[in-house]
This record gives sequence, structure tokens and C-alpha cells, in this order.
Amino acid sequence: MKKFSLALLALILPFLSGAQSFDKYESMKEVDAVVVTSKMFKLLTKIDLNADDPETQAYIDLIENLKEMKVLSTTKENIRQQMALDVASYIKKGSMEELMRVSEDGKTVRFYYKPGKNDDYVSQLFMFMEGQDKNKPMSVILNITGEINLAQVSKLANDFKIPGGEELEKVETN
Amino acid sequence: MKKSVFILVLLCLGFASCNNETSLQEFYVEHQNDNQYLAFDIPVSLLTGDNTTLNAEQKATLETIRKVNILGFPLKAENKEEYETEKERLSSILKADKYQQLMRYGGGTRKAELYYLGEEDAIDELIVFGSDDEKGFGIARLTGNDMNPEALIRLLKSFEKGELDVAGLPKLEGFFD
Repeated sequence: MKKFSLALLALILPFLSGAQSFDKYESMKEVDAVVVTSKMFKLLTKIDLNADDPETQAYIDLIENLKEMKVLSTTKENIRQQMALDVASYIKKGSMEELMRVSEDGKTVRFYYKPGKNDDYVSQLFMFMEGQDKNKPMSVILNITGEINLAQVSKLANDFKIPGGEELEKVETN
Repeated sequence: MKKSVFILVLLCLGFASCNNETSLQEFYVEHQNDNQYLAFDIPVSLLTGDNTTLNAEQKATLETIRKVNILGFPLKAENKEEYETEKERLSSILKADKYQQLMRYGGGTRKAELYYLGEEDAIDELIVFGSDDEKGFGIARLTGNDMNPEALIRLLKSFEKGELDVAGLPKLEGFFD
């Protein structure tokens, strides 16, 4: 019996940890949540008009391989604190590596990633921003999963007008 | 003997699960005459007026769209409970695999979800499900045959430019007043 419950626990555990720990924010009244699924990305590739252009083709390749994009933002102080704590423990626990850190005009933006199939690709891009929006303190979590080409990801900011989206433009590859 | 019981149980389970799966269409039919709901079923031909200026491609796209139907549940003080159960029912209907979720949004008391049915380059139905815990919920469906998303977007752009005549639309707005 003990063995069984242990096995069960082992099965459930992966679902409880990881990115899952941010799911609770999605249903909170004080949090604005936007989730874009892989189906939307697939649909977008059908819409993008001029695929002859190599730039567009690279962009299509990027969005075709995205799994999910999730944006959570809040201006409520107590939730902002909780988010900061959850992010800290999430980064510590997961196998995330820091990509970059930007501090400017009272705003800090941190990017983390999970390595992907090769050096050009990451399998997860995670951004946490603490800053201001219309003079209100705001925290934003932006999480993208899939096969992400970091050299192309900044272009997403143009297509998705989301809080913190413009920060994506800062992602650089060296 | 044991085996046949097992098969019987499996069969029962199969039937039960089939029966549980209400489609959106069934939900719509069930409620279109319910006086708690507002229901509109509008063929596209009624919405559009004189479209002789459209080119052949735009006309062809327009022909793939069949109708728009909207089912709304305005929230009142006395139907709060029903609001919750019916909203829950709709979200569980939309959890079926055939409804492909494109996006979801939530913030404050509001929620919105966008789905489609069909293939990614041949859409049969576009579904918007929105709710506001202070105002009510609504579900809008754009149904058609093999609608091509790219062509739809182009048609939409021509609509912005004023090329597509939607003479029927002002009449519709009158309904909501």
C-alpha cells in the first residue's frame, strides 16, 4: 500500500511543480491573463501573407514551433509579492538559466530560458518584469514554450500587443 | 461469463460517455426559445447588402460563411445560480477535443475564449465564448464551410475599407437597444 501511494505521488508530483505553479494566477480576479495556444500560432502561419520573403519565412518558422504563450499581469501589491516569491522558487527549482537582466527607469526585467535542441534554440523563455504601467506598479510574467529561436523572438512583440511584450525586443543573441 | 459482464460494462460506459457529450448546437437548440436567453440566428445574406463591387475572390469568401448565431444570457438578480451552472456547462462542452482553443483571456470579472472547429486552413466554425460575472455570458458562432482564414482576414480588411456592404448590420444593432 505504501508503495502504491509513493508511486502515485511520483506520478502526481511533476504536475504540481514546474510551470504549473503559475496556473493559480490565471483564475485570479486581480490578474489579467492571456494565453495563446499552439493552434493559434499554426493558424497565424496560414495567414501570414508574404512567405517568399526570407525574413517572413524565418518568422513563420518561429511561430509554427511555439507551443504556448502565457502572460500574467497584476497591479495588486499582495499578489505582486506572491508572484515574486513564486518566480524565485520556480527559477531555483527548475533547470532554468538566466539569459539577461535589464534595469532601467525603475523597472527590472529578467529573462530565463531552458536549453533546447541546439545553441540557437531554447525550449522555454520565461520573463519576469517588475515595473510601472501608467504610474501603477505592475508585475508581468511572460512564459513561452516550444522551439524558440531567440534571434526571431523579438518579432513577436509586434504581433502581440501584450503587457511586457515590448521587453521581448531586448532579447539579443550573441 | 465474467468476460461477457466485462464487455457489457464497457459497452454501457461507451454509451454513457457518448450521451454525455452535448454539442454546442444542442445547447443552442435547447435554449433558443428559452426566455432567459437572447438568441439571434442571422444568415450572412441578411447582413450584407449590395455587394456588386466585390471581386470574385471576395464573393467566393463571403459564400463560405453561412451564418452568425449568438446566444446571450443576461445576468439578473434572480438568475445568478442558473448563470453559474449554465456557464459551467458551456465550458465543459467546449473542453471536447474537437473544439480547438486558440486563445483565452481572463481579467477582473471577465473571461473570453476563442475556439474553432475544422481544419486550420478550412474552418467550419469560429466560436467566441465570453462572460462577465456582473453582466452575463454570451456565445457567438460564425459557421460556414471550409472558411479559409487568410481569405477571411482579407475580406475583413475590405470591410474596413468600406468595400463590403453590411447594410443589414444597423438593423441588427437595433435589437440590442
